[in-house]
Amino acid sequence: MGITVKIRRCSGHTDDNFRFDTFEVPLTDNSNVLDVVNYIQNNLDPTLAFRYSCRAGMCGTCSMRVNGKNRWTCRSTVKSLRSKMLTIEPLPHYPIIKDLAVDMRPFFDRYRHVRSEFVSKHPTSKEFAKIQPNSKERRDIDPQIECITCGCCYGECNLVETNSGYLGPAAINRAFTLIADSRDSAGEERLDLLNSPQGAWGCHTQFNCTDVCPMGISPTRAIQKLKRKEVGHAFKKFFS
Amino acid sequence: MNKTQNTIQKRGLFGWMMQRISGLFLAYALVVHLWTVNVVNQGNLNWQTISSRLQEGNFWFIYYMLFIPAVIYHAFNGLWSVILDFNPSAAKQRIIGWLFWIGGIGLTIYGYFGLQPLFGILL
Repeated sequence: MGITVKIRRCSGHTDDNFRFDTFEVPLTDNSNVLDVVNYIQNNLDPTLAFRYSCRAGMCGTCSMRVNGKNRWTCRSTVKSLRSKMLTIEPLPHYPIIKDLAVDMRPFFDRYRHVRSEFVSKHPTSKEFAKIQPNSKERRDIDPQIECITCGCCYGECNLVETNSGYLGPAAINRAFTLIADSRDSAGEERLDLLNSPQGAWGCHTQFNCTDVCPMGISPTRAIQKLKRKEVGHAFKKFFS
Repeated sequence: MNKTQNTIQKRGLFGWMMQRISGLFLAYALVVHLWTVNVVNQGNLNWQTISSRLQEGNFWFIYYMLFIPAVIYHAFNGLWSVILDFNPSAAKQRIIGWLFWIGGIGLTIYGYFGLQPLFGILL
């Protein structure tokens, strides 16, 4: 049992002479896409560049575009793709370092830009905050919190392509989880920051991020909720 | 961030909020329309019945005064969102934005003129 694999190759982001190399790769029942590229590098072409780390769906490092959709390759079995051929490309919207390895700096720069760190209201307190699991706050935050920063959503979002300053789904989703967190003290600062076409209003609810998120998160949902919070924040500021 | 950038970058909140407010009003207007046509005026729709209904009181006057700008704002703002998806340049956005505002205000005035005879108002 084997599969034909086409891989997009180039020596960097400014290299216009990219090409597709084709390989024949043997498969086992449980082969995943990361196994396939590993096999190619180990046995067929040692110059193939790509990045991975945990191999367990926790780090998000091995994301690539497979058959036209951004995926975490360590958890995407070849069988589940139901295709006789794999086309593997680097994540879109990122500068390419080489072949399938991309520079994640645009993603993490934006992530940092929204103050993605928790800023405690009571940094010296030793008391545990008591927030009920079924409270509205927890129900808002819980579905959004498992992001592994794989960057699939940023690579799939059309608005990232067309609006160069747009912060992207993952960064805004992260900001939302902190804004909704009553223990955090930088919520208003983030709301001011995201009240712009580069922030919450840049999302046109195309749901591409929701479609590709390997963790099943819907950043679109978070952004829609954030828009409501922005309206409330604007009224609060206007009347205060 | 200077003041101009700040003003430009804040754009989005008003349009988003008004799209929802106008949408809610249009949903209400649709129910009123269907109820009036199908329940109140069963098969009796002509110029006289509509005109006399509109002259019954302030409700219909306020209804149409709000309905016309709501439907025009909702339509043009929706089109604006579609156009932004095509990522036009800043200059094109400015031109299209002005065309929409002029077109919207023009259509609103045209709509009000069209209602005058129905309300029995003659200028």
